[in-house]
Amino acid sequence: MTISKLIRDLSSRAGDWLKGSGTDADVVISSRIRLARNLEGYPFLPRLEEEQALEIVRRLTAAVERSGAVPDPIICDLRDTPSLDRLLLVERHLISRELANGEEPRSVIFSRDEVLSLMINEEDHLRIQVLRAGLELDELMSKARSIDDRIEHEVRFSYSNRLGYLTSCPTNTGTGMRLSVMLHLPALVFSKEIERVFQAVSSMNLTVRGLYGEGTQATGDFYQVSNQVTLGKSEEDILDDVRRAVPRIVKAERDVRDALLAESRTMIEDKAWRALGTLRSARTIGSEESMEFLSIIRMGAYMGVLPNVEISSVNELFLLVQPGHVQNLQGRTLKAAERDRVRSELIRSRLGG
Amino acid sequence: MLCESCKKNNATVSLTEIKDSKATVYQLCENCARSQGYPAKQTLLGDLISGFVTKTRSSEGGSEKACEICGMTYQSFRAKGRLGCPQCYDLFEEELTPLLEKIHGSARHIGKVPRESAPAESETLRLRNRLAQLKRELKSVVESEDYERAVEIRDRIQTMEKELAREDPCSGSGPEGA
Repeated sequence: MTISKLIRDLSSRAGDWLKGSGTDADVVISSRIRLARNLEGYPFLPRLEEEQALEIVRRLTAAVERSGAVPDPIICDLRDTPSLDRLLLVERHLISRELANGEEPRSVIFSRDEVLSLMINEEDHLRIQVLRAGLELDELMSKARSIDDRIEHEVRFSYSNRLGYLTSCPTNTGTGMRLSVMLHLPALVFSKEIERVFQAVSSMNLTVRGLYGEGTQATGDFYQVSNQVTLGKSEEDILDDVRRAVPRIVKAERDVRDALLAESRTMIEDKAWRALGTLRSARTIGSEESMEFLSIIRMGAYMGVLPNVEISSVNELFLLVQPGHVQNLQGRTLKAAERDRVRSELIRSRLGG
Repeated sequence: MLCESCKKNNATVSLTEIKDSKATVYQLCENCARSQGYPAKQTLLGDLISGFVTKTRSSEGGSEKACEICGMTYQSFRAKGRLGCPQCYDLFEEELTPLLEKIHGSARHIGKVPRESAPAESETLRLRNRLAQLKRELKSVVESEDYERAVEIRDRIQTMEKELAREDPCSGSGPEGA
């Protein structure tokens, strides 16, 4: 199967990790570990010559293939990938915006189930990303470690005894590890208690970001909580910090949902049904507005006020309504107005409008 | 600014003198510079670049370290937030340590130690990095029309390329034959 055919294939469905399985799925969407690594003997990205960048792509790709770290890998040279396909990969969290829009030779290697993704020549030579549905931190950690070890068996990473794994940006040096948990927090947003949660989170050395990481907005009430510190803490310390913090946020979100049900059931039912009604009726709709309504529907479904809504289709829609997916499903670039019309059709077909 | 030597003419030449690995910068007029061996400036710079640390004049007028491997200065790191290569961490240790402490609350790694790693890279890679750096430099001196310097760098590049051809006859493929 060619890459573009494969990407077209992806645009009609979500990866398994987004289907709504996993621990604490009512609030926790996914957990992710990202390890930043650089090959020894080369400058970092900002000082890399094109020839060297190409060589890094070649060497890392060969090393990953030899290591067997990614079973049945899909290898995608991003310079040959059309912008629409790159957008789709960003929306699926398989690559970052930075990698999608980069200029140097760069590529991504990912597993067919989309839980593993290796970005080459992003901010660092290699970014290893492992995903899991729900809050599965131990499993996630052992997977990330095994992939890192396998690749490290084949190549040598820049490492210093004093500073650990050396990265282009000093905010990642040391473990090079960013552990983040994607949370759906509509009730905390609705009750305006989200700020309080952010304050608590930052006092625990953790940071909160939007749906697509650094500098992005929290569309659809999704937030990523991740460690801030990568140096002076071991991988286990980082895991413990996140493990301590996340259940507290999950509890806060559930408490507000319970309180809303107990005190304002009619209001919540009305909001949820109106959101569903809008998405089942709309003839044109933008991605942000879709996400807003989907967020309320998702919460309503978990709160039991929308008994006939399938969580997995709602989760999937969060992905499929995004511009890259809508256009890829049609197989071409669409103007905004046409996109909004096609999007509304897609939503109606999935939500029974 | 007046020439530091004759105190009459305008200083148009900045002469960097290196003694016992200490750099002193003099602001001179063309005449005084010549009398102090100005044409020798090229050689002086050439020698400097082959040392680990290059002293250059920064825009503020003070001298600033630049990484020999990648050419990064601390100022350009401050502007972009990205370091140029692993060696920058050692070169800018003094400046980076307080920064790392501020970001992470520590400047010492206690996490994973690579247990089993591929063998160290060959000398070839180091040479090639150096070559890439020289090519960058050549481009910038040609742009600033410093042709004497350009000729010198070109010669260095040719020597290095010959050296590389000897070390690595099938240059272009990595040690793993990727």
